[in-house]
Amino acid sequence: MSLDLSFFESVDSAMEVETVREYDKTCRNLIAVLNRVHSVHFEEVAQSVIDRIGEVKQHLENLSQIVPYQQYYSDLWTRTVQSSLFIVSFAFYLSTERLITTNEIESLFGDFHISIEECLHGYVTLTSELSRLAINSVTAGDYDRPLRISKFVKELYSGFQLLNLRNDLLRKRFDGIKYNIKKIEEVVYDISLRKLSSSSKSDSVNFTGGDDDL
Amino acid sequence: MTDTGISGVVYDRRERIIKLSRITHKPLKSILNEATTKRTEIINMFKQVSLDLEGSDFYRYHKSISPAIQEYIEAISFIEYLQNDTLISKEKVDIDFKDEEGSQFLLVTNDDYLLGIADLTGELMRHAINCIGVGDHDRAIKICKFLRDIKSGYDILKIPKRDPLNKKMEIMHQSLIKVEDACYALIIRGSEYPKEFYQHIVSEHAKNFDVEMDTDE
Repeated sequence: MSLDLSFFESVDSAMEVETVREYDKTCRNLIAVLNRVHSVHFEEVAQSVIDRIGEVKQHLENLSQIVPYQQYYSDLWTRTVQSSLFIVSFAFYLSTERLITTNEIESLFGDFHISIEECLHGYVTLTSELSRLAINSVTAGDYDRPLRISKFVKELYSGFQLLNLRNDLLRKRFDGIKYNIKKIEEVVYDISLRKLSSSSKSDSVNFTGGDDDL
Repeated sequence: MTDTGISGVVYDRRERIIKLSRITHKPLKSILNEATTKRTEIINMFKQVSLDLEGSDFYRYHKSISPAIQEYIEAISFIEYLQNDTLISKEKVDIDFKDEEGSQFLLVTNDDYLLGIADLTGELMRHAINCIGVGDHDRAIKICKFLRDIKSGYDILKIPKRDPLNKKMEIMHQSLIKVEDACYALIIRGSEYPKEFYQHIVSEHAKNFDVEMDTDE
């Protein structure tokens, strides 16, 4: 007599794996597009990513159709959800220079349940990418942007500080934010020391009249 | 065992090419000429090895020959960048591994190409840093953009955890950050002095550094 293997077949999660794989592919594509903000004008990059957010939403809808009710938490796709949250918050920051709210995320991503932790992971990744952007905008000749990034990331960090994070991956990544801030602060220091930003330029006129003679 | 012996020889040659192309004070043209002669030598060695790697033997011994192919791709893609400022295509790499009749005597797998180009980014990082050292700032910034473009290509790939590419991706990321930081420093400090003056400072600093190193010892 042969064994009844129907139980094993019923728990086979092949469909979910396939859906997540497609979803992951879209996210990797979008991140590759977002990478271009470090070298080109980013208004259009941000817009092209926002235009494609619908694809992410579609993947999440597909996923919610096969995931049984209330079983949203799974290691299978949490990384991908985190990276799609990073994508949307980065694109949103680039076009509006503010933090995307959870309500806005919901309206973009639809019904799929997204946990607060996943959202926070996305924000942490945002700070590290912004520290890179601060450096690269200087290279591109934009000396004002790092100052605005600095303000934004510091505000975001103070939000994180209100949380009582326990010993987990999020906590570890939260601890890493300060290194990103340090990097941005160094950029801000370099810019203000040399009076390169437009705000410090107008200030310097008020302070010193004959700096050029030196 | 013989095939590892042969690829070992090929491997050494490859290193020599790369060392050659690293010498920046030599005029570029003479380096490239030297590289071209070496290139034909190496291709002939690959032809020899290919006799041991026919049919299924290729897949059986691929692990032994693959590093040599990767190194070769790294070298020729660097030459390609120095000459044309572009990324060598997989098709163009394949051409080198075709004989006169146009049939492929050695197969270059997609993985070989990806791993070889990943190594190129490390080489370009060094090149960019050297460019900054000699004051060729525009070129450094150009390389920075080029690296970024290559990396976006790799970002699309889904790389399994155990894949050797995974480690190289990490290194590639570090290289890019290094070049970005160097370009940043260049722009920010470059704003203090005119370019020539800045170059002078760099060379003076390098001299002082050498002196300090000597006195330390």
